[in-house]
Amino acid sequence: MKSQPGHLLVVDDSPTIRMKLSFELEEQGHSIVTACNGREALERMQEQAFDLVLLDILMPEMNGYDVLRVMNDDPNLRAIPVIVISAFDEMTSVVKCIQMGAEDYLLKTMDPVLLEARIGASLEKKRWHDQEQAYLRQLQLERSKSEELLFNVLPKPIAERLKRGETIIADSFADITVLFADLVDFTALAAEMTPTDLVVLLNDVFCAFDYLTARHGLEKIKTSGDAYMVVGGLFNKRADHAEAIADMALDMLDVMRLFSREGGHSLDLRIGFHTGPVVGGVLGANKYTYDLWGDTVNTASRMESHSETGKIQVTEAVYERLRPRYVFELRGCIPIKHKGEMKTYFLRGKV
Amino acid sequence: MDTFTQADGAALPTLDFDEFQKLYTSLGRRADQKLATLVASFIQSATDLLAEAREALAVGDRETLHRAAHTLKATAAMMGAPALSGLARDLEWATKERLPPTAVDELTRVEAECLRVCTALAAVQREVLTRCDSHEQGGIPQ
Repeated sequence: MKSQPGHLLVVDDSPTIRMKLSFELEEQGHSIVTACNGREALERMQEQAFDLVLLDILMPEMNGYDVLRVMNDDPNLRAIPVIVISAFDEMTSVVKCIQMGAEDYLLKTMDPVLLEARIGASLEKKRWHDQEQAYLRQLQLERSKSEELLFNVLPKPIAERLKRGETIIADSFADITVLFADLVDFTALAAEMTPTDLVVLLNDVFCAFDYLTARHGLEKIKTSGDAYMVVGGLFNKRADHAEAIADMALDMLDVMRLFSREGGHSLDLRIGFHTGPVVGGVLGANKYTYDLWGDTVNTASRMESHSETGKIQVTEAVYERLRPRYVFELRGCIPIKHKGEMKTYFLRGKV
Repeated sequence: MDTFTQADGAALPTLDFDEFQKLYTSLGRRADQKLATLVASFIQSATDLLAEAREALAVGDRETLHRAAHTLKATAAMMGAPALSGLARDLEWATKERLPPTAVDELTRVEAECLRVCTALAAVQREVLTRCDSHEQGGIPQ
C-alpha cells in the first residue's frame, strides 16, 4: 500500500546525506525541507508545520538530543514524530533517542523499500494522532459550551458543585438582603404593544438592571414575568449588602425615569427589600435554576407588592441598619399576609 | 549490533558495487543526474570535512575531529565506500574520549583512502554524465 505523502524535515550535518535522503523521499512523493544542524531544524519547525522529522544525532552547534529535548518541552512540536537517522554503529545513541521520545530509527544506508515503509507507518500514525486531537478539541469545545451555559444560568460556585457531581444543593445563609422589583401596570402596557416590542422593551430594562447588579457587586437570582429579583451578600460575601441593595434600588428608579423620558413609555417600578436569613438551593433534575426560600424572601416580596409606584419599601430591620446613612420616610403599620401588622419605611435617598 | 568488526578498514573495497547499486536504484527517475550531483556533493563535503579534521588536530580540538570523522564515516557508508567508512570509524572511535598520538596516522590513512574514493567516484561521475548527454539509459558503470 502506497502511503500518503507528507511534509518532511531532514536534519543532518552532511550535505550529501541530506541530498541523498531528499532525492529518495521526493521520489516517494514527499515534500522535503532540510536543515544542517539542530538549531536550524528548530528554526524551520517554528516557520512551518511538518508531518515528520528525520533527525541526525551528532551534529555541530546543536545535536539531536537537544532538539528532542526542546521538542518535548514545546506543546506545538511535541506531537511531530521524529525518526532518528543513524550510522550503523550508533545503537546506544539510538536507544537514548527513543527513550527521549523519538518514534523510530533508520540507518543512513537503509534499503529504500524499508525506508518508505517506516516513513509511511510514522506518517499514518501522525495522521491518526492529528485526527484524535481534532476530535478532542471538538469535544472540549462542546463541553466548554455546555459549561458556559450552566455558568450562565447558575451562580458560579453552584455550577462548580454541580459539575463536581453534587446532586442536592441546599445551603443556609444567615444574613443577606433580598430585593424584588416589579414593573407597575405592565399588563396594561403589554396590551398596547406587539409581543416583539414588549419583549424588546423588557429586555432593555432587565439588561440595564443586570448592569447595575454587576456594578454594585450583587447577584441576580431570577426574573419572573415583569419582576426582577436580586440579592446582596450571598456568594459574594460582604458586610454592606444592605447598603449595596439600597444603592441598587435608588439606581433602578433613576434608570426607569430615564427609560420613561427617552423611550416615550410611562414605565414605573415598585420596589421592596428586606434583610435576614435564607435557604438557597437547586431543585429538580433538569432545567436547573438556583432559588432562595424562607421568611426573608417572602417578606421582601411582600415589601414590593405592598409598595407604591416609584417607591422603595423596606422593613424595620433594614431601616435600623441603614438609618445613619440613608433618608427614610415612615410609612406606618401595614397588614402583611401571614405576618400581621408590620412597621415599614420608604427609602428616599442617601444622606 | 555492529555490522563491521573493528578491523583494518583498508582491507575492504574502495567502492562496494552492491551498496552503490542500491544507492543508484533508490534515486528513481533521472538517477544519472542525481548520482552525478551526489558525487559532486560528496567530493566537496569530504574535502571540507578532512580540512576541518586536519585543522582540529593541529589545535587539539578533539570534539571537532571526532565529529568530522563521524560524519565522514556515515557519508562514506552511504556512498558505498566501506574502506573509507571503516577508516573514518577507526578515527572516530579513537577520538571518542581523548586525542591519542595515533590520530595523526589514522587521519593520514583516511585522507589517502578518501583520495582513492574521490578518484573512483569522479570516474563514475564522468561516465554517467556522458550517458546523460547521449540520453542513454542503464545502470551504473562498473
